[in-house]
Amino acid sequence: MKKSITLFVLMGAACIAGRAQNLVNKVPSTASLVVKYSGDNLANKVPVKKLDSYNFVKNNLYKALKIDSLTSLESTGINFEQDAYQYVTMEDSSINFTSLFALKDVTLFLKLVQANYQAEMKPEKKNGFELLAISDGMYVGWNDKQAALVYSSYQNKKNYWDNMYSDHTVMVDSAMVAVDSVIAAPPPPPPPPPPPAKPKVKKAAPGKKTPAKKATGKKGKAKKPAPKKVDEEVVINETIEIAPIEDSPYSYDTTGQAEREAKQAAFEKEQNNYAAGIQKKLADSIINSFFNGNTASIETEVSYKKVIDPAANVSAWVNYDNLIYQYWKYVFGRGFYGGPRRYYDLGAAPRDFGNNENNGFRSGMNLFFEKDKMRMEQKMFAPDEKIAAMGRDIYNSKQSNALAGFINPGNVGYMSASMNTEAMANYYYKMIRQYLNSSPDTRKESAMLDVVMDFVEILIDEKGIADLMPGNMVFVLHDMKTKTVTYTDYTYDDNFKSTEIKKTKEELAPNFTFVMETRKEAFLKKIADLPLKYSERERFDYKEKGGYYELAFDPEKYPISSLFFMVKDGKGIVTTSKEVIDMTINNTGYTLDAATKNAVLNNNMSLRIDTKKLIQQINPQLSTDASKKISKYLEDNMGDVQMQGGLKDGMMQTTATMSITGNNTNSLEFFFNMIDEINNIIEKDKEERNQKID
Amino acid sequence: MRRIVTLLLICTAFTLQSCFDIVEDVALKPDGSGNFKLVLNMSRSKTRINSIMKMKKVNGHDVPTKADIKNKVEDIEKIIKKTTGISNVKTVLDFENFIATFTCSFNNVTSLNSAVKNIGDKEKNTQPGVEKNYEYDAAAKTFSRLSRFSLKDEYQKLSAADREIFATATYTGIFRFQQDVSSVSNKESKIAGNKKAVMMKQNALDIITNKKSIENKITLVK
Repeated sequence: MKKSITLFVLMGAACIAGRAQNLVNKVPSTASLVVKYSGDNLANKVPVKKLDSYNFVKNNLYKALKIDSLTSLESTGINFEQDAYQYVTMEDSSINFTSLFALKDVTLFLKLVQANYQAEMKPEKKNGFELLAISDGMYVGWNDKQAALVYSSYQNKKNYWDNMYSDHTVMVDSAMVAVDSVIAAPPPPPPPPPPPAKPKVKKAAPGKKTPAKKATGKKGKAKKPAPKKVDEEVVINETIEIAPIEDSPYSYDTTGQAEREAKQAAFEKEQNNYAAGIQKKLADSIINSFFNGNTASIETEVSYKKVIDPAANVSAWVNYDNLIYQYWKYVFGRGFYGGPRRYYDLGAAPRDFGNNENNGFRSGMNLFFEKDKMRMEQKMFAPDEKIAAMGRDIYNSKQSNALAGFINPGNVGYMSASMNTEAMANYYYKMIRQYLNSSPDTRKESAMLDVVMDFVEILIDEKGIADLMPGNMVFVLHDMKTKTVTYTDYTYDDNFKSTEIKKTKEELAPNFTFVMETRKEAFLKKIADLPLKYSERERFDYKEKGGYYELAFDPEKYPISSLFFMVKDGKGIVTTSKEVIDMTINNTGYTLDAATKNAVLNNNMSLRIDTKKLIQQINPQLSTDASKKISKYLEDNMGDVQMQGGLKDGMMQTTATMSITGNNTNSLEFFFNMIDEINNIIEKDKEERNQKID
Repeated sequence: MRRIVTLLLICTAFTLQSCFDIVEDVALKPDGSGNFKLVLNMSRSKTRINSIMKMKKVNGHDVPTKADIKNKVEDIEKIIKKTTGISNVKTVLDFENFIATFTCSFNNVTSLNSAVKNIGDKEKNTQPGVEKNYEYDAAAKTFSRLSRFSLKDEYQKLSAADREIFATATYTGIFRFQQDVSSVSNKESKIAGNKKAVMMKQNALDIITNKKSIENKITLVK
């Protein structure tokens, strides 16, 4: 874990970089995630010397990187004036994180690697580069000018207990052979201890042709091994004796326990060796490709150019299809209920899109550190016109004037959303079908799944849901009022006789409104009416007040005194503000300033947070000196946060900004200043606390 | 410590503005018997506690229900009632103001110490020194409030959020006598105007972190 953290810190350090050296040509088009740290930009905005001056860099980053605190980030040997890229690829049941960056001084860089990983510095000479194994999963390759750092993690290791209880042993290995097409030769496992005198099931290793055993379970159909894709280097041909189920370790029979443990250790060692072999082969291949290959670059991917702005200071490109698949793999790859993973879980199987092309949404995030604000632009693009059209349908909606009228001038923050919920439901149906059909296990049941999905569509009436919530909604935090509450305390006279007294204090009470449009007004009214039937029995104070409902709270017990519910003119309203209720009864609304009105009515998504106001209102509630100081710093330096999103150039696009104030040269410097300042406050507070303890 | 924190956490909220007061009130007769009162006052945080009581977890700790708290208190009461020399055991839980008041009578301070030890044993306390909190020497006319255990190490193990609970918590100790008080060893304590009581008010965090002590040897007029 520590190594992983250091790796990411190292990558982060490598990524404060400058002008492009066409490293993008080395990022493969098959990547699921690509991050680019661009240039002049970052280095010019916060020069390395400035970075060196930050305490958190010296005390935390330097420490993590094991750099002498008196030197500079320059002593990493990394060229901070060049671009850097990070990308994620998935192949052969492995996830590979790769960082590409330029070097200024290779000797210093190797010192950094050695200091951090205590690696035995015996690099292999390769064609035009040197390769060093830092650990089983981490490799670094370099020449005089550039370096590539690869962390590869094989995801398909088998679980010993699963194998113990499964008669799918043969399936596992045959599947593995099909999946892991480039497999290095792992060292042979130690010979297993003598097996107990009981019947054995022979387990085939990858590449070893073994007769399929008849399965007893539903999923246990025997399959022929698929040795055709096996690389000639695959030589795991040892057999592991797997004890039968009767020899269960859960029986707590201590007879032969040492033997079983040895067997498990041997099995796990074999799995680790196997994984290490694959990881090495992949890392070698990636690094070799970086220095010598002609990779089809991510730039050839049409969606990359569509969504990534070359002028961005930092950009990230994401292939959602692959990432979501990886998520499912993570969820199911561990086996249901957290139990051992089985071969038929998604995690053990390769993904094959079959007829469902990998054409879902790609997202691009472009980050700009401008002088007075940070700006983040996000774009969603689908190569498949049908999916793109579905995305456009979701945003085929417009916020209503009536809902905009609930946003009061001078609010602390608001969020407005306008989406076509029916189109959204249709989109998710398609996506779920596509994902189910792209999994090897579920795909073979595609006819059944198709029927099940049709049935789900019948049961879930998306038109009905869309009528109930067509997709226009607004949330407003009007303000944070203070409320006086009483509490009990004791006073003591001269003779220390105590008397119970009542004192008062001010507490924050959020004043907010949530309103959504509905075409099922009668149904919403029924829901709003329902608590009236139960209020007496359940002892809560819920009353119909002539056009609206009030749920009253004991003001002595809760920060909110009342919550109001109202259904009127196609709107469902939940609010703490009686003013909002009165306005709705009188068919009036707040008058918005032109900018806010424009932002709300002309965008599908709109958000604004008045940071200063929010901090000022929360301030009196903060109890510690450290939190007060942090709050004061943020109040002085942070401006409003805004976000707007909608259809632009046929794509779903969102722009979020956070303005900055205070004494900062630009927003990137603000970012580092902020981390440094907060870190200093926390460290000082820690010091003071420790002094108190000592 | 974690058990204490779990119970006390309900008096905090997301902003973690902590506020609770502990009042220990011992009235001692010349023969060493007397009355004991312990008040846990979380009234300052009652709106937050009410909100938190609607939640399942806070800061990773399970939030006890009122029934859980009642059961726990009843368990403790049972243990105390079984302690030799302890009588008139009574607990009042005020869920309106979140004030818990425990009272009992004791034949001698050794019984009080035993009651504390029995609770500690039930809660599997491993801290040494918890069993001896009071000493009374009728002949020498001295009463001592002891504090021979430290919560410092336990406190340091807590998360920053959990530590916040103690930031503004207070401890008040009042010791009442029928005779006049002639002297006190703890300079932070005050003697009442009528000389028949001693009071000490401290920040709970100072006590936990050993910055200040609640130990006090009170000498009565012979």
